[in-house]
Amino acid sequence: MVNDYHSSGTFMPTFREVPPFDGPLAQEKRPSRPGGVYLDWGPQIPECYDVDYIHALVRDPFWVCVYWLLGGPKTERWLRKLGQDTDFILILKRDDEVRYEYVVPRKCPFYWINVRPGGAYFARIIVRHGNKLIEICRTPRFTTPKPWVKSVGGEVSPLMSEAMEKFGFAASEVEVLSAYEEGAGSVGRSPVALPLHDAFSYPTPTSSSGQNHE
Amino acid sequence: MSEHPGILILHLHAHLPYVRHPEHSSFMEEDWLFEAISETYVPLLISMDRLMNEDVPFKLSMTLSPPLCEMLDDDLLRTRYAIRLDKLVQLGEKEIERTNSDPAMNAAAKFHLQFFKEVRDYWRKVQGDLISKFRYLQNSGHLEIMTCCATHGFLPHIANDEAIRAQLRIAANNYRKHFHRSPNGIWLAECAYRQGLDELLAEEGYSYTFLDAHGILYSEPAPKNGVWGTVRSPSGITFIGRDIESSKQVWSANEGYPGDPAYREFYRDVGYDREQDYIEPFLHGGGTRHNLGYKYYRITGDVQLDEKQPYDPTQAAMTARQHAENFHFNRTQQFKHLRAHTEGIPVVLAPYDAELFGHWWFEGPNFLESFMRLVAQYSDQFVLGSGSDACDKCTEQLAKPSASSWGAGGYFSVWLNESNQWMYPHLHEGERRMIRAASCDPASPLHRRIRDQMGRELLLAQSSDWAFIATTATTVPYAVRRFREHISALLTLDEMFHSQNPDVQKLEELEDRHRIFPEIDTSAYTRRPENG
Repeated sequence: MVNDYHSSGTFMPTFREVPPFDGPLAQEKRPSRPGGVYLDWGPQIPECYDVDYIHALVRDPFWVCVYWLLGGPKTERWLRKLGQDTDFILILKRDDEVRYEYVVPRKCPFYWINVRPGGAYFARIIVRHGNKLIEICRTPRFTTPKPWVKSVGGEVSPLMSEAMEKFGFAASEVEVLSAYEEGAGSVGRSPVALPLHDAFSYPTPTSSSGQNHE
Repeated sequence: MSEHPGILILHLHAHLPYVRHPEHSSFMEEDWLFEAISETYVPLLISMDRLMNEDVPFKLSMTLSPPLCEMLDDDLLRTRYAIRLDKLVQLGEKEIERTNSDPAMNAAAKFHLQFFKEVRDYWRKVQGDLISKFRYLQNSGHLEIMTCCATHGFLPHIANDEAIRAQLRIAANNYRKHFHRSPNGIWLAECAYRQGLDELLAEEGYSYTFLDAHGILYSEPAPKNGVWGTVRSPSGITFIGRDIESSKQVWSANEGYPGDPAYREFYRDVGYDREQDYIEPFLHGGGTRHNLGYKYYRITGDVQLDEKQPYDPTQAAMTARQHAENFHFNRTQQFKHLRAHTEGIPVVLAPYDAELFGHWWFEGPNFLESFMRLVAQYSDQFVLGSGSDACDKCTEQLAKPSASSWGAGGYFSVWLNESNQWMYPHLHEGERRMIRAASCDPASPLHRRIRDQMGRELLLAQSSDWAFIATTATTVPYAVRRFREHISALLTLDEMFHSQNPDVQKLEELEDRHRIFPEIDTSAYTRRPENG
């Protein structure tokens, strides 16, 4: 890595008292010892923005990563009204009315949630005011991938069957959903291994006649 | 059974992140481009020239991503590459002298010097203008070039349709600039697809794209031909799925062809093997060791690097030909099987990273040339074609493809995990600011330039390469630095856009440093009125 680079001194927005994103923590701008490696991680960027915003990033059929930024006017207004220790509640709601609620910190912006394959969801952050739910922000509706096959009339063509079998893909909706039910709705900072991960391990190379023509 | 024997789409996806550092006299990461030119792009062009000169019919499909096109067309980088090439030739001459008493090493040194001299001759012959060569091959019908998302942006994780549209539209405009026609197909960065993207692709005038196998297999309804036919979405985009069988024969690190013991070992390089003083003149400033392209050992087998045996180019070339024959035989068998079972003309899509051929797998271009000769010789078995050919000839089934990517795990975890999740709030904030700026009339021509540069910075930050590098933990400081530079610049420019007295010097500095897409049109970011 080059060692003569200096950041350009660009304008930096004011820091706010909100948590850092999980970016690089070691901002070593000078070698810690003579001859040490000089690593330039680039200019500082803000730790938050003045918005009330929630977003859900789909990782695969089983996991979404939800993050939120609660630095906007709506959050500020309700915190003034309800007090600084008001609970923020993350709600994840599926189209079939199944719903998960989590009391979440204002300052912990990444939540990994185990979700159902082939589901349609939206997420929102609310605060409670008496019996009322006050919405701070919400995601658009999003869908998770559906790793099973559905065909017109319920029959899968022989060639499709061959592809599914040969390439090791899951074909059964029941099989996929039972794998999901074990961890439904659980939350973690780091998702566990994907169920059915082996569905994408490739077989040894063969021709379509099933023989390896080495 | 159809009379047409079937179409094999041999697709090479050529992309590199935009790496151009005018602020330094020499910059190590620019070698990503230089190595790919020497080891992949020029050898491929030489192969294709040879086939054309011998009237061997062939057709390849390639992506040349917009950042790659911009770099290949950049005067500064072309000048630097020519200097680099001269240095490598000088190194070769020094190596021949040094290895004089060791016949095996001396032969390998001579082979490499000859290789770099041929590359330099070609570079000089075409005056460093590789884009024109690719364009010529496309116009002659031997190559179909697809574009790619403008900066290889990972579309499923872009929050706003406007920002996706910009990735698609700016790519098409850039393609027109370089290839003088509109693109028919687009390679989605990392083959990453989510439901609904097809509508945006159709709006921007694209006809087809490629997905990984499960993107097609999990379509709804399931396509009768599996991945060996085309699928048309309700919005009119044609999708073709990757054939796993042909992919794995080439891709697999363990079982694929590139791992053969006879092939050149990538990781034994003079840049690491020789004394520091000896190679110092050929390194970038700072003396950090890096590859120099002179590699004298073969893969040998599962042994330590210091146990590798000398490289024999003749034996390696022979092995490449044998592998081409094996690949041709397997495809012949595959098409025979498919013709008996598919409705209409079967299609097999075999996509690879272009840089696999030559850069990682040194003998890859030999393999490809031998394979294309075999296809021409036995054209009754199957023919080479492009995505457009498949759209024209194959029976399409109406279906909605499934979310997927060609990354590990088949979905998006390579580009979304604990090492890179921190990037997304910044990217999405960048999108919001860009969309807001695009919705305002610029106060002056200067403000328009500021907004255009904002667009460039956002696009560059969106490159999927940064998240990928964070996951693979390779050159992480560089990726993080680049990401932060672009986000920081975007925020600065946003302030300037809303200011009465913008800092012109700052703008010019950024325009010079990140000068991709001089033709940029940021209208794609304009928010459309809500329907209904």
